[in-house]
Amino acid sequence: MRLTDLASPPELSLLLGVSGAAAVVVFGDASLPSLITGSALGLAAVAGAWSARRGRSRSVQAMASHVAQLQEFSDALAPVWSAQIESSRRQMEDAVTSLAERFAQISSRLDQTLALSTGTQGHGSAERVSARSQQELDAVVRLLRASLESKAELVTRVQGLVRFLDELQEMARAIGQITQQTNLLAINATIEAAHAGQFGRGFATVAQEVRLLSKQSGETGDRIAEKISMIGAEIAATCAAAEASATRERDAIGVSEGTINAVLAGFSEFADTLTGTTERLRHESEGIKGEVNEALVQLQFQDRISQVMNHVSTNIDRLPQTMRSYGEECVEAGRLQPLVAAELLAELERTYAMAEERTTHQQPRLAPAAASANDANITFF
Amino acid sequence: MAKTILIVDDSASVRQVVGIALRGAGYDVIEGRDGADALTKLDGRKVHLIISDVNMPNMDGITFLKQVKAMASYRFTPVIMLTTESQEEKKREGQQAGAKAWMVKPFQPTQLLGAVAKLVLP
Repeated sequence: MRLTDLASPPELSLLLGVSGAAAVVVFGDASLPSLITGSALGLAAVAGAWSARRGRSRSVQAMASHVAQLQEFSDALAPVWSAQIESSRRQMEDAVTSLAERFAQISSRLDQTLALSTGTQGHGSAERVSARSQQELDAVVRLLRASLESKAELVTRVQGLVRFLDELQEMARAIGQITQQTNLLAINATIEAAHAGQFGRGFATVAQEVRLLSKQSGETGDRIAEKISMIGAEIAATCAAAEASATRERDAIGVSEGTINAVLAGFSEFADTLTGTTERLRHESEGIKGEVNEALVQLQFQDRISQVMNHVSTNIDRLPQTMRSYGEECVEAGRLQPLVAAELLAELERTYAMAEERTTHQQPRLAPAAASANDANITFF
Repeated sequence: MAKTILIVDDSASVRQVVGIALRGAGYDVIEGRDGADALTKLDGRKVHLIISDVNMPNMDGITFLKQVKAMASYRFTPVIMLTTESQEEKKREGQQAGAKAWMVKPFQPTQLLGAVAKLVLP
């Protein structure tokens, strides 16, 4: 053990001075000069010790002042650092949360747009409407054609009546012949009645009446023949009119069918274009939705950065207390102690959750690559 | 009928991202800001799956998980821990507390939906 370990400089000088004075008194000749020398040595020792203690006191005061300044430094700085970090963390969280909400709304509206464009919520796609219209208009054209065919059948049946008119004309001619023969017979009877004289007078009257009847029959037969001719002419005119009407209707149906087909073709082309456009819109919407979802994934950085900032902020909050403990150590030791960061660093390390925090801690000068969502791993238990 | 999933995370943006992914896949979602808040949401309603963060204020994810497993109505409800925590020691802690899976953030929604489809109760 060294002497300096036993006493500090003031105590050592006092010890040496007093020892010198005692030695002079004990080993001297007790003469006045030796007593004066011993006393002088003792006084010098006391003065030296007092002076040294004053110097040490000034040094301790300077140290205490320095430590207090360090504490004030950390007390003043740490809360501001911490508050700034916390403020930034909160602002970032609010902004990112707001961004995420907006992205979520965009994503949701894109979903609705996609659903509408694919017709899952509407009345069907333009393509389906076009096909349905084609079917319905085809049915209308078929009905018109059926009506036309029905009318043609009616005309055919009316034309069939002409055959009966010929028979009626034949019958009218037969009536005419019978009338002529009856008239001839009546004339002959009248002649024969004249030959009979007085006795044939009554018979002549009958023959006269037969002639009149024959004449009337002939006239009736002529009127029948005339009416049959008129009916034939009317039937022919009706058939001609029906034929002309059928032709016009056939032409109208043909034109309508052509118009319908042209309209449907135009509509189909429009539907195809619309379908193509819708498909491109759907494709683009899906692409945008994918980008929005990817942006949402990237927003997870806020959670990670927020955690890092929180860990650092908590560690900064511990700095004033660490400085106070350090000051107490210095005061207790009577001299400045080494200021070591290990304890605070260890506390900071214990708060880490992410691998990159630990990597950064171990190699602060090497910025680690940010974790990617593709790196995410999952463990099933 | 849509299945219900409880998301527990102190980060609103993470709750948003997870919620969007799940709602997009047809799930109903309820949210808790931390373990303590999430426990108030477990009020007897049917929950088919829980997705929980680990490091949260008020009540952390592991404590929350232990409390869930102590509740008769939810002891068989599968729980996925979705966290930035990647230490094996923490994973073991989660496994011992009754978690069914441990997923490290950041994540891709498709990965999360795959895990959910695998674990969600019928």
